[in-house]
Amino acid sequence: MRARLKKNLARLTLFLVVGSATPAAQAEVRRVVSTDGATTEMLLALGLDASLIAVDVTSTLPEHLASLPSVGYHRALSAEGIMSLNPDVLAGSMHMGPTSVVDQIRAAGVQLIRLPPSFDLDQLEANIQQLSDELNGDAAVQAVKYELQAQRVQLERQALPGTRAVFLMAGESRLRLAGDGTSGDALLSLIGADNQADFENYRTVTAEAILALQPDLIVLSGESDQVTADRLLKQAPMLAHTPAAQNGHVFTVDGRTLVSGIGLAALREALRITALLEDD
Amino acid sequence: MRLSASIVALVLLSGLALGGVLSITTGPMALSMYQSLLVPFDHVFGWELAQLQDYQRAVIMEMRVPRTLLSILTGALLAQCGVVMQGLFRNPLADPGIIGVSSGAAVGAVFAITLAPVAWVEWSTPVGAFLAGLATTLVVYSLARTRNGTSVTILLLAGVALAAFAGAAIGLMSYFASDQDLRSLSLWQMGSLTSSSDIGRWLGLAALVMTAVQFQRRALALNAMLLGESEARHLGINVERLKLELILMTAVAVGVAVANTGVIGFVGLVVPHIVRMLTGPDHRLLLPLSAVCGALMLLLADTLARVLVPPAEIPVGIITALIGAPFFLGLLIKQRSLGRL
Repeated sequence: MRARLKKNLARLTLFLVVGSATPAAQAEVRRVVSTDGATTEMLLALGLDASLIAVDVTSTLPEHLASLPSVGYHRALSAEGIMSLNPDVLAGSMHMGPTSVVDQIRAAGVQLIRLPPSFDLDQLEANIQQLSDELNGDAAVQAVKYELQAQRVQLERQALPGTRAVFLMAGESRLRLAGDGTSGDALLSLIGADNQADFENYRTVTAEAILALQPDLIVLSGESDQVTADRLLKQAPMLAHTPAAQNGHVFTVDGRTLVSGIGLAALREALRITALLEDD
Repeated sequence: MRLSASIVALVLLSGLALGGVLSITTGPMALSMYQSLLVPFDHVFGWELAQLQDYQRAVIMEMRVPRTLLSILTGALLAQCGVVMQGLFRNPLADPGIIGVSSGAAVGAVFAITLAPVAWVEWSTPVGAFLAGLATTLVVYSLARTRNGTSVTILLLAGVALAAFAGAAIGLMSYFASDQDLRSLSLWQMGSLTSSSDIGRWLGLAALVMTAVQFQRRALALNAMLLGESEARHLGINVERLKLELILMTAVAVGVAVANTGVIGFVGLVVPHIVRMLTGPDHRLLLPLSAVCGALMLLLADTLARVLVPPAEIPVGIITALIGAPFFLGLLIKQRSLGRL
């Protein structure tokens, strides 16, 4: 037993010596697996690209990181799959799971950072601060927060209080309307618009119900701007009679930015829409 | 292509042993096959043979071995219950879900996922699934009881009707569910061997021992049932009692399996047919061989689920259907060309 321990210790020492012979910066970099799109955005904004070793399916990555492995969906993580990447930190939203897998990963000595999903800018800022505190992102955090503040001011300046708005999930054959507590609702409140849906979560509705709400603004989640809007009007021609369609106020946001709450990319989408509305 | 039972048994058992070794020695983390195989022995006998780090030992003992055991238990349970349901109902399309236990369990799980507090989900989902599955079976069974005994036709139809009703209830609940709950729900319905608790595995073992012993004792009665219900009655079998006992035990066993893993389809339907094609319809052989074959099938499916897209993994229910359906069709075509069907 003792001989084995010695052998292992010797091996570990060897590993450390050899390990530290590689560039010095390497020792500082902690290996981070991100399990949600918003977290990945924040890590990239904090300049922690080099730390990122794997992401989930909802993360969008810049070119130079496109080859990172995917750990799948953040509520169906694989314990051994993640451990095989030899991570130091597992960062993502509180919804990561299943619980047993997260417990196993924690038990294996991996640090967990579980952020509450942000539905407003205060929570987003708090999440950025927490990530920065735990991962030594100090160098960039002030700049990120400064930019966030600037965007907040710009949003408030461009906000359109009283705009009757709805948020629709498109791309399926059904119309799904975003109610309270959804990312779509959070996006509308960032814009300063007034979500006309008076229920919680997403619900399938008829075109007639949307027409009855008389929205001045329709925001869709989809992939490409004009295609999604055109398809919606083709699919539900009745919507052409809404004030929003008549004034050309049917806009598409990238659905991948709204997977769980509001992230930095969703904020940029909100700014883009207020700018489009202001142009009119 | 009837084969002698001992050859099939030998092949299946060595397959299961190999499958077990494969399941313990492969995974997204690259560990030497020999070393990882030593770890369970070290653990049981207190040896120090494997030269692996502590975290690597943990991967074997806390991730791979529990999954291997749960795959074997669940596969064997589902396949045995499939044999019993097909034998009891004399219906080749019967699977363990036919008596409503899976659809009921799904409703229980939906209610637990959407309505129970988030902190409880870890245990409220399996408990809800088990209780609702059992309750549904009891409803189906009591609907089928007539003055002239339990009607198999009503039982089957009531099972179908309740499954449709359960589907609607799930649809209604998911209409009101939040996005997060919706994803949990659809993942649960694809099955996974990831989350297994110690107590879940012990319950699975208890259920397997119970069904293995009790089903085997009724194997001859099931053979007699193949002749038809009244023929079985004339052979001195208490058919009503047999039905009640087998349905209840199946409901409990499938309930435990579903609570542990979510819905895993196809094992209970396909495995009995495969074994029947290989060795014939004698339940004395069909029951134990199907258990081994079911265990082997789920073990291989789970190993594939873990290694196909590392570091992520595919829900195992998808793999069993992807492999099970074409394999089953292949067997059918082969049987057809031999003129047996």
